[in-house]
Amino acid sequence: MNVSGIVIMTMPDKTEQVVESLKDFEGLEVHKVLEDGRIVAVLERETTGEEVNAIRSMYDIDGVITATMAYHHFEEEVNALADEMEKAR
Amino acid sequence: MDISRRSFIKSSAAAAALAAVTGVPVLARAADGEGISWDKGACRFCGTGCGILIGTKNNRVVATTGDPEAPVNRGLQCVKGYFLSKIQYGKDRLTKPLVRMKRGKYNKNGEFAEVSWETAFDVMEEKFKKVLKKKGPDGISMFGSGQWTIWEGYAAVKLMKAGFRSNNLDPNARHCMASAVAGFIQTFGIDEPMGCYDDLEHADVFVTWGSNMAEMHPILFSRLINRKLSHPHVKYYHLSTIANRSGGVADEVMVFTPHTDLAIANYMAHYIIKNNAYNKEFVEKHCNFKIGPTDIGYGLRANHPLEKGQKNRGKAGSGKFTTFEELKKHVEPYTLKYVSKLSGVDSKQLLALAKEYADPNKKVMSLWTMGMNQHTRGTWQNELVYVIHLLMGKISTPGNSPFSITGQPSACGTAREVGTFAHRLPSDMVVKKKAHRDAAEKIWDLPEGTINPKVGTHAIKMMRFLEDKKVNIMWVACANAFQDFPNLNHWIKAARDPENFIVVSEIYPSASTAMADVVLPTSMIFEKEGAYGNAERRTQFWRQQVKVNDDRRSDLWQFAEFSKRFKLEEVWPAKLMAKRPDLKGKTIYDHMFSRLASGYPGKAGMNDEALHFGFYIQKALWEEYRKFAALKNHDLAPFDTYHQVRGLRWPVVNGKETQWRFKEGYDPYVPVGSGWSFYGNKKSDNRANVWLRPYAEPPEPPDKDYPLWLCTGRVLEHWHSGTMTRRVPELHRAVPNATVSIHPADAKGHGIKANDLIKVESRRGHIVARAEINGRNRVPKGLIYVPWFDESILINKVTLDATCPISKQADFKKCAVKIMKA
Repeated sequence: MNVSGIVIMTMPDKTEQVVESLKDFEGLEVHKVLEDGRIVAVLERETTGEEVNAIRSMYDIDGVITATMAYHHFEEEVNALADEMEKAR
Repeated sequence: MDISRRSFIKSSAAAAALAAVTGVPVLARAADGEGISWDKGACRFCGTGCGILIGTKNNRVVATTGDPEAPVNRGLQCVKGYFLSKIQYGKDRLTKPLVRMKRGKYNKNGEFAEVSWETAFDVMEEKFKKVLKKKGPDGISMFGSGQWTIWEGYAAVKLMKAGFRSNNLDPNARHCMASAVAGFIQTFGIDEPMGCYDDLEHADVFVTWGSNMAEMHPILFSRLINRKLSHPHVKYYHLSTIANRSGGVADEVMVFTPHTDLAIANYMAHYIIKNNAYNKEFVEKHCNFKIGPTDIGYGLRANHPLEKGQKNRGKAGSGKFTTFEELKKHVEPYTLKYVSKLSGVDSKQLLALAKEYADPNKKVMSLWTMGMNQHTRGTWQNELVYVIHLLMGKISTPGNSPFSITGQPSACGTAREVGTFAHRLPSDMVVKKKAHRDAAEKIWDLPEGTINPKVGTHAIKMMRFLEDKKVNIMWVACANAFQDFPNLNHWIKAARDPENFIVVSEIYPSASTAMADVVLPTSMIFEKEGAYGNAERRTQFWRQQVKVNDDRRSDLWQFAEFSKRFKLEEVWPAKLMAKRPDLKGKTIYDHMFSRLASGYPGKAGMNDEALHFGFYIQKALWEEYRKFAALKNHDLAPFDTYHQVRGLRWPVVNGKETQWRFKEGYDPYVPVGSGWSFYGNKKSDNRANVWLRPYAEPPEPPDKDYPLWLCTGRVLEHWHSGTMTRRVPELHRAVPNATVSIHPADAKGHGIKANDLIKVESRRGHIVARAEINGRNRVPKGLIYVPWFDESILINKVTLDATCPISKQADFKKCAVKIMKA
């Protein structure tokens, strides 16, 4: 399981509505909503690809300006991949 | 993962994100308790140059964070930061040299076989020696990269230009910023932006001219938007040929007909002069006026029908001094009415923007990327934006900033500053100037006349020469040449010509490795010690984070190791050797690389290359390279400094970086009392050049046979040709292929529905892809957009290899196509 800390920047007049749409977002916990419209959240997904897809779909939410990441932990995923890579040699 | 550990990691993730928005530093770094060790680095992707922290455990990269101490990104990373996790660990990572073989011997028509480095280099050595003997230095070439580390680029320059005496070295950065460079050199006499990212916190008005910052440079865009949202007076104008995400938050979105940005910029100057709004004191004291020829062609082959009547093809870059009065006359025809009609932009919007530029009390930052650079008049368009800023004196002060953003992590630091271009030497020097060659020969300890005075083959010319078999060897390193060149069908054929020999240094199989005769497995980013230079002149270093335990080797290792196989007398003419008898018997390696070893002993634990070569080769090369920088106001700090700081913006003078160049009080090279000094133009009174540049028709506008414009570019989740980002299988499944963005009316007119397979065809080639209607990119009627990341949909088979004739940068944004249901 990968974990990332993310920051979503929203149009301040649409922040509430974005927070509302994020409620059903798989693996996402909103930690803080700042007055300036920025949202601090934690995202859990199985793989990096799913995380990227999650960010991509956040961009499609009305009111989202950017979705950025501050922290990314992917130890299990990399260990599985690197083991496979080493085995292949 | 057990629950307590997961909740610990999650709280670390939340803390890091919170710290990034509040600016309060994280006290206990995330997951320190997990045995992860952290070190600073720079992101592998775009030219923003975000600082990151790399978490390693058991010789593997297992976590990254945005570096909260990095001034560029202050703890944040964009979506591309996610890829830093797995890019080193893809299943199909190349780990062994491959050579095409038949019956145990090299054969161009053979199948790839895994071989040792020694065998791969044996095959290459034989080919290089044969071609050098037959055709001399002009027969070989190297296509390099704005993604090389600084010392890799520097080693390539030494190997090619000093060792082999060939200037046939050019980087993929030619495709992304050559027009920006030419604009800088012609206007300021010195490359790279005068301002810096701090301008984002000072400007009152932002203008993007051909840049989808929201998706391509999200971290810089966040800073721009932060400024706008926290300062309600701040306005944002977005100029583009397609409506993209960046426009979503703009005050004005101005979608213009391709190529008419030239007219729009001229209108801005027209308005400023007509209304007497220009800064007279600044213009009188700090500007010269220059004019160059028109009808300069489109950089196509001389016999191309589109070059007919272009009588000044040979002197595109020339110019002579003129006057402000002439400028006044020049901008006269660019009236609001004319430009609005030509560009398709509402005259109210044009006027509103002109008023912003002309308001002496408003600080304006103009930003641009590929829309302006990949343009058959890209140099002109860059220069025209400087015209607006120079007329107003809105330059080199906080918030007043014409700013060219970069697409690659070290297009500035490596390609431009080191000079890995066919015409360049380090620090803005050029091969055609005797004084510059002399300076380089002195630093490199070479006999006079070593450096070839003839400009080598720029990127497009390199491919054309390969096709003509004037160049027979092409070594592609850290680039995806056989995906990223326009008019690709020609070059694919040329690569497989029996007379030609292609070497590709790569990390994964790519469109280019498929064209290669030899593939060299290359170590990447955190598997080596590195340095990048970003778009605001910031040089950043990182240490090797994980050891390589197989046959992957860095480009630096490859260039230095390969250079051991050539004695100088084998590659230099006897006349040159006679000037330095002491060099007899020495290899290129001995003289270009290991000669510098003294004082830089290699120690265990330093990095893989230092261990292999027995000296700290990165440091030795840096300290030599720095001598060039000091000659040309590009001053760089000593090597060790950069391992301690979060980057420094050159010129670094007396240990201090420079935020705003050319302005007294900020730039140590500007004399007291002068206000500004554009010291790149020392010979013309330290003044900036204001260029008179007209609107010109694009080479291949749509017509009845090919009725649509084709524009190409990137998408949010894939970077460049996808060599790295397409290794993520789940993402690949979600966005498997490039699509064609098309306007609903054009789709309807062609009987095309969303998701239909359609054929996109130009005079050069075609592709088949699915139609996307009303997707993220809202294209105007008459234009389609296709991204170039997908190697199964090689859109560059369709594009035209026209270039800006001054910068030689290809225009990937404009050619004529037709579409039909496939």
